[in-house]
Amino acid sequence: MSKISIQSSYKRSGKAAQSRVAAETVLLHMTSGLYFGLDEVGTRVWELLETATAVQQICDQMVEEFEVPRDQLEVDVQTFLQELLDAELIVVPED
Amino acid sequence: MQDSWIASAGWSFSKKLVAGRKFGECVWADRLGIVKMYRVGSEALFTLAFSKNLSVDFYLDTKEFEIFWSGNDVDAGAIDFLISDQIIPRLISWGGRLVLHAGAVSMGDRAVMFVAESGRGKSTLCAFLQREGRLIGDDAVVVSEGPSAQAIYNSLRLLPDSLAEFFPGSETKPLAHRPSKQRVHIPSSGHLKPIPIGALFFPAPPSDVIRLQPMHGAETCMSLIENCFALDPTDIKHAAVVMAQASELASSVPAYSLHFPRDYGRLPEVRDVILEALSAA
Repeated sequence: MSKISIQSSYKRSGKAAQSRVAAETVLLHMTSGLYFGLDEVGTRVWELLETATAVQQICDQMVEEFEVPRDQLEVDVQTFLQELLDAELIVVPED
Repeated sequence: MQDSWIASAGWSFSKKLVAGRKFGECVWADRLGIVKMYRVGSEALFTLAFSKNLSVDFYLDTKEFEIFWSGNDVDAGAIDFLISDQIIPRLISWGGRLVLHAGAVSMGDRAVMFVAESGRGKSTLCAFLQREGRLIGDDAVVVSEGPSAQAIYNSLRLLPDSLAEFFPGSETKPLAHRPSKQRVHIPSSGHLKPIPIGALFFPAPPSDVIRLQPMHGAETCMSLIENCFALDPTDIKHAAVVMAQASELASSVPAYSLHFPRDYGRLPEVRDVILEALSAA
């Protein structure tokens, strides 16, 4: 179960090298050496996380761009962000 | 050929006969457990061990490597194979180029590449296709600008059944670190200049149905990374360079997972789907 709240904000941790492959992205965590592949949708979320962004705002943007039902999208985005957080690819921004 | 690759990479080496070498703590092993890495001290000195009787120390600062060998199963031929199959690909990779564990054959003016770990049928596919095209290489392929594929050497390494099928009665040499595989040299068909890559194929585990599954960019990139050579596999900065190179290749060439039965009689059908994908690329 995702612990990501829709009100919270996240940004990239700066621990990953990234490489764009057509519409997708591959990330390499520079400490663990683990790779992560992001599909087109994941890549868009990753782009939005370049600066501190609220989950709410990410979902607003994604609903508009991908024309998907909001309920399912929110769950998917929260699950994805939890994975990024667990892998230390994103952090909660300091105020 | 070997010496020129080593010299052009700026390295030099020596060989030493040593019995019963002992290693410290293993810091890395490849997926098949063939190659193990041991740190000796500083970042710039480490050992890659291919067996108890065959290991190599690399000195990054001075660009030298030293081969340690002992035992009855290691001879000059075995050391030559180690250099061309395992050491040169790693030196070229360290020099900044993408080197893949792959086979490649040129069909017309473009190369098809088969990227996979050992045992997925790369050599068999190359042995079959080179009858109509030209073999580039079947184990380590250097990716140059273009992107193009270039071999380090032109020999094929085949298991005994494939050897009997494609090269009956040919003269072969065993491989030191893969005793079940034999190497057959193809003197006339090979060439070493870079050939533009037309399509990438990732042989999947055996299946009855012959089909190609197009692969997405990130998946292709990560599959390339899994099958590349690195001198120091624990060097993450180098891994980031490899990731950028793999991304570039994955962005510019179509990639497919290749599903096929391990049945010589059906290789013509496999060839047809490969050529169809190549002509569509």
